[in-house]
Amino acid sequence: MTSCAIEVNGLEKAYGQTKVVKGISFCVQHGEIFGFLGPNGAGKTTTIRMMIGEIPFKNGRINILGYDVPDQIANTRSQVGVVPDYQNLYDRITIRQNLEFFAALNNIDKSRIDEVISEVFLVEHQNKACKDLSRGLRQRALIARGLLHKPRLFFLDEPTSALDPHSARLIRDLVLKLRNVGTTVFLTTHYMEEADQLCDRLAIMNLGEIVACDSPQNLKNKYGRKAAAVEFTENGTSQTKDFSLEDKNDLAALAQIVSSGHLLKIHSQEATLEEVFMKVTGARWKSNSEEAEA
Amino acid sequence: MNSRAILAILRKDLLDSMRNYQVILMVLTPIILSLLFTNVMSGSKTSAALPEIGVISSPQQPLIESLIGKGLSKKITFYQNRHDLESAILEGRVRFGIILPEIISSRNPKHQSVTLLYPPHIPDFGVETLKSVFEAEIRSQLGMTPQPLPFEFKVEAVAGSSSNANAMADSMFPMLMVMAMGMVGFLALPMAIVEEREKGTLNAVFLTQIKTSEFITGKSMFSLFLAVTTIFVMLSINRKWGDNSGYLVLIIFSGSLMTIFTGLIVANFAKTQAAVNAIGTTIFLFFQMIPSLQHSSDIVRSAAPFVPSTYIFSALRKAMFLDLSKVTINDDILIIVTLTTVAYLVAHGVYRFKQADK
Repeated sequence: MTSCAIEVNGLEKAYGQTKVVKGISFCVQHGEIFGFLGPNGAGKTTTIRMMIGEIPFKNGRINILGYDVPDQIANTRSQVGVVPDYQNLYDRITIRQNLEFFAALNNIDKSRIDEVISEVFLVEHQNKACKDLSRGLRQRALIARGLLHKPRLFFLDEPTSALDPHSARLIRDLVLKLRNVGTTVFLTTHYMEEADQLCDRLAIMNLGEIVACDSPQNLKNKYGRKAAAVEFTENGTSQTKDFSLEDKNDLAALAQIVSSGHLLKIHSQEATLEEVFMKVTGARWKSNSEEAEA
Repeated sequence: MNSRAILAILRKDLLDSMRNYQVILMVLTPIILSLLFTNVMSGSKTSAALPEIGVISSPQQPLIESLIGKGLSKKITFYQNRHDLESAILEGRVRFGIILPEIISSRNPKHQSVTLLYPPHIPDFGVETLKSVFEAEIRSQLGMTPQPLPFEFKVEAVAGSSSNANAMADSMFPMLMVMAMGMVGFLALPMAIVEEREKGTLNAVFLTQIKTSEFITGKSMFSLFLAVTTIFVMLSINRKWGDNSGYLVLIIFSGSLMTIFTGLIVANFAKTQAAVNAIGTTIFLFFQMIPSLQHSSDIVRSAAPFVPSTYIFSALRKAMFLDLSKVTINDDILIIVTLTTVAYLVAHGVYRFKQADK
């Protein structure tokens, strides 16, 4: 068995003459939470829709859990769960009736419905019509639906988008629990803090291309500025100054402060994931807008 | 075929439709109309046949007193002058007007006149019919009997047992049954499928292990249940089952399936609910209007054989009201079953092609 739960090679998608996905390749390891980030229109949702067999593609290869998509897509159905970026529940019926319906379609025993309702904390809301629920509760119902058949691979497309902090936190906790039981999670999000907190590795997509792919820490190390913010005393007064860890003069000055005993505090100046994101996508935005203007 | 999945779709659609006012309206409309038409049109023949009349006359005029005595007071409105009466006729508040002298007598016929006023769109035979009704009343008042014909004039109903009093309601009933089939097949079913496509629930369904054929079967079964139940309720509450219930059931099932398969084709091409409204309503109107109005003009009559509902309408009418030993129903049924099969094959082909294309 391949070590990749998802293996994508040279995947392309075009609408007419416009290429929205430009030959991307990546591998998602079994049991990891893989973040898929990018600005709006980067091609994230299109990529997910190709991976779950919702839309066709002409060039490239997608392998999900050992099965080629779309030819062997039927084999993945029982092992893949999906929470899309829109809330596609049957609004006029209750959460429980929604789950009963999908349990029947997936040939799952009804007892699993109680389990999954309990897992997403919807016990007291299960008999309410979906149209009467808050966005957060509906999102949890979507997750419950996606988890009904205990998938090995779970796609979550912006699951915490527009949710209050409490609901978002609940969903993040659920994602972590899933990883703990060995489920592979493919997560797209616009919240960098969330990606940083949850993801083992992540890819940043921009204008149809993957522009960065690594663990959050490695990305921050790679794209962050190597510097330290140092607080020290000089002539009896407290001062704060940034020292580049790549500049010989700064390193010498820092060493002098340390040896003189005037050092008060020192903080590493690690980049945030948001800064990495802006760095790897920002220049391209600029060039894109310049192209548009031209 | 996964029967659990098919039944799940049936159950889900049933639960969903119970909270969907559009579907409830589509089911209730033909039922309510059937009750309305059956009760309104199966009243006394005179009461149902005679339209509202505007009268310039004294209420004590013997002819008017006689009509009121027959329980027609609600049909008569009195006017003071001809201008008001003519306005009422043109505005449609009364269908006809009649101006009567104080007393009609057979003694001075030259100094008396009875005037019948009618709107310009009324056909000649309608005016003649009304004139005959009044002439008969006046003759009866004056004690004048017309010369008897020198031969026996027999009036006999053929190939049926229904009374004349119910003729209008009877001709309306098959139309309402066709209406129920059309509303469910051409509108409710494609609307439900396209709503799923628009809301994205269809995507969620096809992420499960269900096959397209199972989904289509489940949806079709629910629509069939809806159409057949509606029509069975209409027949039962109006006591119209009659002696040919076997034929009726066959026509209802086959006709409903024909509209359902057509609805599946509509759902395949219509991308939005607005498009379903446009396409479905157009088909529905042709389906409903052509057989209903086939006797209204030569053009409609010549178009009728090309509209499948003509055969459904004809077969229903025969099964419900006519003596089947004197009319042929099998030809109609054969055409209905053939057209239903064609509709199935086209729908099947369309969905197969779509899957292959995907």
